[in-house]
Amino acid sequence: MRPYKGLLLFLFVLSFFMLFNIYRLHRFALEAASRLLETRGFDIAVNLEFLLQDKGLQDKQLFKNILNSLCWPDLAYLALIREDGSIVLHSNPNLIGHRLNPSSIRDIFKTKHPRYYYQPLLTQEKVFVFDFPCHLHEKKKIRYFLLRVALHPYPAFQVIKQARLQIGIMLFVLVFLWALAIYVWRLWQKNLVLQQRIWRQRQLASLGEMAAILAHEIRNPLAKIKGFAQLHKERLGEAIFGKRPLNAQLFIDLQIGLSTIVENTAQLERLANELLTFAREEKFKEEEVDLFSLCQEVIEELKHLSVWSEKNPVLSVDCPQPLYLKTNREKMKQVLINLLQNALEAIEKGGEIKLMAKKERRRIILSVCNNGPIIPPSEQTKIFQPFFTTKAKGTGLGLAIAKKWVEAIGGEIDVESHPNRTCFVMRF
Amino acid sequence: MRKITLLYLFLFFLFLLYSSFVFANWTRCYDPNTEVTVQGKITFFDPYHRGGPQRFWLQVDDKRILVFLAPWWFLEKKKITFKVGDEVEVVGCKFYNDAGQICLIARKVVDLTTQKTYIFRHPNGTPCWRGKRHQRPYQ
Repeated sequence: MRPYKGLLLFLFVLSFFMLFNIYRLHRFALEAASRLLETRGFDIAVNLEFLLQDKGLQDKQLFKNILNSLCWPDLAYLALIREDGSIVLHSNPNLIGHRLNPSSIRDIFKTKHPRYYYQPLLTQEKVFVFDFPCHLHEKKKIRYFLLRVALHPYPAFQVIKQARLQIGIMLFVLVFLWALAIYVWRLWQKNLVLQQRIWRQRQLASLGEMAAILAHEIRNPLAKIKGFAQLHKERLGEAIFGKRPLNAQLFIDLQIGLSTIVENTAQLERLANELLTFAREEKFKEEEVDLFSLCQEVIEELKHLSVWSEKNPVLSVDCPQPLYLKTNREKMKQVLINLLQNALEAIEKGGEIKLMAKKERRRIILSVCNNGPIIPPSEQTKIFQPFFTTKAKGTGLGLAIAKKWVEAIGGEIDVESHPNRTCFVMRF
Repeated sequence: MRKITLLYLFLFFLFLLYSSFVFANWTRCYDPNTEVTVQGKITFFDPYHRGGPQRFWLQVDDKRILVFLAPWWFLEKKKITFKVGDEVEVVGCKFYNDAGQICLIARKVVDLTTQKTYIFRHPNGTPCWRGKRHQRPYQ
């Protein structure tokens, strides 16, 4: 999964949970405010019912005095209403005697259940109205009345206000997160384009570098071939036309010249083969390989090389028996041959080469060490680059191929160079 | 140029926002249902206030109440003025504004120090500065 897809998924999940929480918070706040008002209305209504039962309905200023005292500042108004809709008591005594539409209160007298609702006032405020049926004595008779308690909802709505503030903050955070994610995504896209551009420029640069090296590598042997071919063509021509004697010296010179041509052609062929090996993408079959037997096999092959008899090295092998590694046998063998050949070419006559293999924790470490000259740190970084060589006749592809194959097998290769000891260490 | 246009638009938006707050109190009507009578001391009164109705702050025990009176020109015409510290009795309808403050739309104010009574609205709640044809019966 690409990183931005993960980020997008995370944001979607987060947004879903946040929106769900916002919805729940809002519902909870609405419910809490409504319950608060209901309880408040009920408390006031019950208290007033007791008060009216105690004091009777004669005191027309009773509700007015309650409201004027501001002891219940959230109280909007109070009214006591008869079944016919006429107002018996009101917090504004001027309204006593006025008649409400009886149909609006009929069902309360019928069901005898309290009712609550929001009533818009002329002040553009919606007040919470609690209609409470109660029975009171009037003229020595028990009658049903409707006690109306109207409350300003603002104090209770503080809960909703706070919840809305929280919701606002949550939404802001959500929007901010989305904006941040979009910004990061755009930055990431820009970075991707930039990386691609850099990679293409590097490719072009390395291609140019490779072409220059390759041209140089081809031109040298070609110049030799051309030179010797032209020289012997002229000499043979002179001999045919009698300008030069056709003697044994001419044939010896011709033999030397042709050998140089063949040698340089062989070098060109090797370069072409190694180039193909380096460029080819291969899939390896992996198997359990015993490293001890592989090391022995490699040493036996190495002994047939001319460089072995030239240098006559002191070779020691330190490998537990058996030590298995899941790898491709042929490629591993070629890597070891490349490294050992490299070591052979690096040492002086009678120098030391050490081939070691060991298991460290869960990794297998293979190293080829020699006591040849130290590799300077500036060259250590370039040593695995294609066409990098310090030898007169090297193609500069041996170590590059070794690195490529080691990495293809799933390992890594490093060079460690100290005075009197240079090691190529492979870790699998 | 574009930035200046955006700035003008922003300022216009701010003006609309401000005016909506100011005129919100103008559009409120008197509801006799919530009429109360309170007595207290004036803590703030600005006779030169012109944006919206004239008002003063009233301290009633531990509560501060914002009392809306009438347009400034009505007060000037009737030569009504108040001073900070005046003891007054206000009859008016109560409501909570959007800021959560207790407010009164005054119908009658009695200056207890001078015993003068100022009527701003008729008993049914219609404003005195509007004329008789705008008067409406009780609802």
